[in-house]
Amino acid sequence: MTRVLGRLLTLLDHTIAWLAGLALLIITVVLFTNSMSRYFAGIAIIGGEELARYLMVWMTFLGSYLLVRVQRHVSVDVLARLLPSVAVRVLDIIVGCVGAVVLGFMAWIGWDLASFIMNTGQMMSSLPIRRGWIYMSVPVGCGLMAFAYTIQVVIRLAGGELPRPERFGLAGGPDEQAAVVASESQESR
Amino acid sequence: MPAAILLSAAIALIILSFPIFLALLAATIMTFETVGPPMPSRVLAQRMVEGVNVFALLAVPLFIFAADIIGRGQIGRRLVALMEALVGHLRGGLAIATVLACAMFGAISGIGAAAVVSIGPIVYPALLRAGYDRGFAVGLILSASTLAMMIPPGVAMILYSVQTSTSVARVFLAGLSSGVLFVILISAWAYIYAVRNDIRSGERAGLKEVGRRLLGSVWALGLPVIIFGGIYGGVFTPTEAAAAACVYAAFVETVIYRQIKPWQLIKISQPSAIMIATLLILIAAGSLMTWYLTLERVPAQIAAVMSAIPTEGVLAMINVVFLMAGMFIDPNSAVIVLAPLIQPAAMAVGLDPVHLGAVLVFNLAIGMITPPFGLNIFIGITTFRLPYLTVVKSVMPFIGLGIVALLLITYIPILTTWLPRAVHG
Amino acid sequence: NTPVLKIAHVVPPGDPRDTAANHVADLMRNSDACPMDANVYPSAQLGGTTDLIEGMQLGSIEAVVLPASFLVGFQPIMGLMDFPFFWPTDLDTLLELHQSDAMRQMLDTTESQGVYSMAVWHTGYKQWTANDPLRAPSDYQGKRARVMPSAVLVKQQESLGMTPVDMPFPETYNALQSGAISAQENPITTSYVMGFHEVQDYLIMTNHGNLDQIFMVSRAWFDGLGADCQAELEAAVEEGRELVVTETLSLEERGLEAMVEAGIEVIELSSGEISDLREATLPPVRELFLQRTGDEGQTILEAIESEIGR
Ligand code: NA
Ligand code: NA
Repeated sequence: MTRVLGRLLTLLDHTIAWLAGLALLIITVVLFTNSMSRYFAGIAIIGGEELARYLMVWMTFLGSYLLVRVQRHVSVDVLARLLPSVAVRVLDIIVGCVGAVVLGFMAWIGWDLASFIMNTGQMMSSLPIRRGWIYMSVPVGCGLMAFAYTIQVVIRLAGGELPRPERFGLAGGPDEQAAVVASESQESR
Repeated sequence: MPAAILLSAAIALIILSFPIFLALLAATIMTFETVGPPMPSRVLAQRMVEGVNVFALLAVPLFIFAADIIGRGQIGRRLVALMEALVGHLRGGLAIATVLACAMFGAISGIGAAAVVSIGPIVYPALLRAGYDRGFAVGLILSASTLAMMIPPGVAMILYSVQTSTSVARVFLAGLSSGVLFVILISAWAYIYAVRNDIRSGERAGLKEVGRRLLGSVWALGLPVIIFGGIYGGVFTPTEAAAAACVYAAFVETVIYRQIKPWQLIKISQPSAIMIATLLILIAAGSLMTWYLTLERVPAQIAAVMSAIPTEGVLAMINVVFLMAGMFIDPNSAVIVLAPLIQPAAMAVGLDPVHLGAVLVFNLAIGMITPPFGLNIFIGITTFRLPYLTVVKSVMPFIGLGIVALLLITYIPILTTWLPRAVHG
Repeated sequence: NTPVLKIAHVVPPGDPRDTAANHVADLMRNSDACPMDANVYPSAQLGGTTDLIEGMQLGSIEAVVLPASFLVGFQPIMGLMDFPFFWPTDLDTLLELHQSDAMRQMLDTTESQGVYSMAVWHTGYKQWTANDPLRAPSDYQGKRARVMPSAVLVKQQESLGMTPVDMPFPETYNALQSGAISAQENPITTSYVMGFHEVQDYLIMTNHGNLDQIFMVSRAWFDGLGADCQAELEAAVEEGRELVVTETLSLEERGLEAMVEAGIEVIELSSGEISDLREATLPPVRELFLQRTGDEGQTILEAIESEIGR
């Protein structure tokens, strides 16, 4: 049972990671193509700028879910470094509870906002897409984050360990990650 | 009063090791829901989204993505080889070549840690062989790597410009000025060090060898040319330039250097997107908090208090706050959270926003190498496999150099403002 | 219980619309009949553009001053305000038209979005700035220009064979300087304040449109005020409307002088050249507008046309 749940969770994580990465790739391609076609062909893709912004917003909230999963959000962890592991476990549970409540609330008011704006029928300024879709990133992203914090509480209460950042190619932080890559590429030489 | 509740709650949660975005969200939501003003709560969700729904902000993910691609490739190695051929024969030549390679790397990358891992492992053994002390070598690499923050493009500078509505192009040029100043100071220190310790210089590379290495790094050198040539030549806007940097870096590393396979780009995009979210979600939460404090007129009140203090005093206070922030959190997060709170006050006492940007970014660059939690210190520990205290000791003289440079930049504004004025009027 | 009035806009302090907004806030703060806790939030402090209007719908902002173009996403009929070579170029005639019933009929279309468009604040006629003396429609061919995200404005530029680029306003200066775009359209005051004359050679006096502002309030909030409060606010906004015109005219005069001094060449067009430009742009824009807005758009367009006497 736990194994199946664990698999489902991994599947969810990987799907979200793919979507976030895809958003980044599309942003890159859209902005690059837009500048090239404008300069060399005199064709401007109206709406490319807006699409890129919307994808960035979605990437923010989707990526944040994964950061909660692997505990990689920016924090000043002076205290956590000094505490014994029992206290760190208690701290994880407290952070998880506050996170679940705060982001659950955010998801709920985000849903309220998104459905309100959907109902006004307002469109993006240059694309035939309802503006409400940009706000849908809040209930989805914050809902996922609240879920991830709940899982964190459950895991830590049960005495388990949280997933490692390596799962997403993230060693400790952006820099340790770069260090790992550097040592990998040295080995490959 | 609501502002005091909000800020103390946020600080308490941050000290308790809460993720900063969660601390800001929790404190703002709690204050908003308890002491008002009476508004429907869904406004909070709107302010979060609109905080990141900003075109100029797109440069941030794109330059980070570009840095990730470059960090996995060949560009760093080629730059070092070139700089060594150019200045290796001078007194302190290899150390100066390291500084220049970091500076060139900075013209490609926008974050202050990437050069440590791209250039560090290449120059570190060479520096030791040439007779430089281990502490000097590590300190030099870690501090010169921060040049990437000052030399454009720089993610911290972009974030500052977005958060304070200042012209990115001007802040870039001010950052370039402060970067050049820092290059001169570290190079001078390297020269003095080499003379005092009687370190041999390398042999002068023949013209043919210089040419060969120049050819070898021509694709790497092409990136800054494309970025700035493209911006100033009208091909793209600064934001689009970031996208061009990604495409170019991907092209060079996959097609020319063949260090990365094309399908790996899809894989690289995932950790990049996730790491980018650390900054963007902070911006979302931070702009919600700033919006609430603006409603309560807090920035205006800070400005009113500050306007009674002489400009020099305000600058000193800003330096202390940002140096301390830089010790504990990464520079980009510090800009996101603090710049919008401090900027109105700085404007009230008549500071030039472009000058302020250069000062803030330089502060945070120093913060990268300041204990206890300077980011580059930890990267140094992993990259060079050295103990914490050794690395901390090695950066000390360079922190001193950084503070000298900071004082010059802070109290002689013309050092950083003349270039943007000369170019943009 | 004092009503709160937050007036938000996106330009820096000192702009004519900021001065007028502050005047409205002062009047309401010091009102005897209906004192309000009134404050102005300039420089997009409370939000960018579209999200300010949403703020009124959500109940976080009471009043917003923005160009009508930003209302188009909410109400396509407001695109009429962006029509080229359509509005009277005589200032007094234009201001009179703004007070007409036909105009009120158009402004009332924002009611469906919970927005009460109280008044039109005139902030100047639009002129082109460019690196070439753009006279005939063929001169515009192939030029890249910044466009606001409004279908009508995009169509206007396309019908001249231009390449419209929807870049954010703050990037415009650098884009003009680098040549990423070579032209832009704005009132003289805006072009002057943004320093566009430093990076452009010609100011072409087309008077081809307006970038007039709508002073709008949340309908729900307005209805919650007492009748005397409503009357006080109407009067204050009317005073603001008059003030914004005088402020604009004086800034325009100073701006034009400074731009000429800085070396920009002013191009005056003959009435023949103007009517060539009108022929090239107005019919396609009109057709697009009618396609998008249907019968309701046609009724309002015709009402305003008959008011203008066209
Ligand atoms: Na850089
Ligand atoms: Na730090």
